[in-house]
Amino acid sequence: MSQEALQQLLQEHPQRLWRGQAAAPQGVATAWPVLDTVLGKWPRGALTEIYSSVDGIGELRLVLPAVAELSRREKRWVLWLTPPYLPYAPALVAAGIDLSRMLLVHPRQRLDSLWVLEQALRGGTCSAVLAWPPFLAPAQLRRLQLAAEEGQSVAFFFHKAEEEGGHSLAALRLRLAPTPSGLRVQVRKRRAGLPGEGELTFPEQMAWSFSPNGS
Amino acid sequence: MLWLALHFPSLGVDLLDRLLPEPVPVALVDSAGSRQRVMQMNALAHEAGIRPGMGTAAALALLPTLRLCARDRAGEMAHLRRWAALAYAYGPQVVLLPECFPALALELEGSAHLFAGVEGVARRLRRLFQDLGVAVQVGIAPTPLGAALLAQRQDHGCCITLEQWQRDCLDLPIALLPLPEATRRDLAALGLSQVKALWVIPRKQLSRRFGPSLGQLLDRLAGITPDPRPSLAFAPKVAMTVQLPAEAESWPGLRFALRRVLQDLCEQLRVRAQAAQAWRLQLILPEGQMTFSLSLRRPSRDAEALLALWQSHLEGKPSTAPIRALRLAAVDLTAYDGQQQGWWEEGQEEALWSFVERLRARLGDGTVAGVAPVAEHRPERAWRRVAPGEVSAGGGNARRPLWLLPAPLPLPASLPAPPPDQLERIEGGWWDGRDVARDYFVLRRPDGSRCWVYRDLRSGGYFLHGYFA
Repeated sequence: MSQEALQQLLQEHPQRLWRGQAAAPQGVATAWPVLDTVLGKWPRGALTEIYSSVDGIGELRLVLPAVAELSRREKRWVLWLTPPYLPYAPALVAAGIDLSRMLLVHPRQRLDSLWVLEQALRGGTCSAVLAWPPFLAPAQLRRLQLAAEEGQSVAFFFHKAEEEGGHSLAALRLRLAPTPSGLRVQVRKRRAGLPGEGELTFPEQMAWSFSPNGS
Repeated sequence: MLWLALHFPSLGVDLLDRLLPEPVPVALVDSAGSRQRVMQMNALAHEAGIRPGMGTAAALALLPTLRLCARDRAGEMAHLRRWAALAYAYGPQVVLLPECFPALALELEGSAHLFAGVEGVARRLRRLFQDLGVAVQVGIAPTPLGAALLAQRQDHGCCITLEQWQRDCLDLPIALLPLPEATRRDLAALGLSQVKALWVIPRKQLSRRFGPSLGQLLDRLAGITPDPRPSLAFAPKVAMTVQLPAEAESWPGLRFALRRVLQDLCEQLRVRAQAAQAWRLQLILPEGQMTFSLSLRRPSRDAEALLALWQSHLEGKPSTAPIRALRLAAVDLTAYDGQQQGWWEEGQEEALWSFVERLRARLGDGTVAGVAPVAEHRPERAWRRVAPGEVSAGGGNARRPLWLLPAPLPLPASLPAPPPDQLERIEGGWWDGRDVARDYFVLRRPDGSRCWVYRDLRSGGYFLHGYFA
């Protein structure tokens, strides 16, 4: 079939022709127009893995618009599991998050972290889960993925870039890299979709750049 | 007046049976008299051929695995009193009928229409006791005694008008009447079997022969003379003690019994329009006891959620000795505030809070929190930990970083000074002696991270305080 004929078909029957992306799981809008074509929506009832080399490059700004929307719209918890720093309340309010929905959880033992994640994902009591989990064995990850399918939460798992392995059960895997004006989002894996790349531009406050040679 | 009576035909054995995690044949033995005889048995024992009136030796010969338990009349009475409180949900007066033990009666002339008639009340009570795991028979009649006898004779006995009842009660068998054993025997010897036969005997004769009480009983039964009985009072405490039918040492053995007790107590809280903020569980051992308490963030009366909480609390804490009995008390009762919400919202809210309770029960206090902004200049004091769900009015600040370091991190002192227009000066705290004077600015490091850095105006040192993540 020639390319023109294919285009014609797509235009004439937009609803009836199945296109890979249509099968993507239902999700929550990212609120970043750039990402609409690159990754669609944040998947619900599935895990999203986010790898980044350093902290503080915009990993929260990437997800917070959707989290803020969920915190205001759904009467469920937004659970933060063992974040590496303090999620700072004044900035969270400015980002539009309803803080009365927020749960900050710091278990004392590693095994309890897994338990918390499973409870949070399975029970349907959390609209979003933001987790900085300990290392997860494939079997544990699979268990959490199954739990996520029951609970209809949006689940972000943040990892260090060097932990990225090959195979993953997550519905979406991203790799983040900083750019001078924002953040490059590289889609490494996407269920029912192709890998891609997009760049976010942050409405930046003036930042004083610094490099070791003192320029 | 219209009375609905509840008769519990197998109360003693039901109370044991409903605490058993898996079905075991159980029979209840009455120790009155010289020989012990089987009084009641559960379905499993009945299938095996155990019948009331059997001697214990014969019963054990028939079924060696049969578990024999002594009848605990005081315990049955305590349950009956507690359940009377449940019946108060449907009518203004609940009375015990000690002569027809175990039975209680509820007056519902004025309230039946609220529950789609007497049948509606009967249906609800039937379902309630089915959930509690106790067999019940219902009778309805214009007198409390009449209702109790109807319930005792068969389930579903019903007569609404007094006129009709005064005819119907003549057909009751005399054997059903609560009479002393001797009187009953004498009447049978005379060949009298129905109440009708007593009714035609002139009262003088009847009273000379059997004492005045028989005639009075008949009058009360038929509603000719009033039958005043004291209303049962609400128990002051919501608490319950049960003997475990099988000794338990750890959570799995305890779970089933605890679930029943929780159902029972939560039902009572529902009738009282209350919920409990704290619960206390005592496990009674052969010597001494273990006490656990559970305090909740919000008062609850959701049996399943509470069971899950106790599970997180007790799992992995085996007892040092076999547990004989347990006592659960709801303490710190408060009026239940969930009425304004629709039931679906209430269910959802409860699920959200029970999730938090579960986390706290497993992880310990201080591990689950919310955050709130505080109106304060010093960044490290512009937020605080709060209880989950607390609504805070504080404003946001878009110039603040999303990540704050728990404590400012000293940086090498060789940082270049930023242009003055990029500085934000923060000063304050002179009022409590922890005053700060800092120039904050945003610094982009070579690795791409955007840092929130300040120069301490006193020492001149640089510190990292957060990340614009």
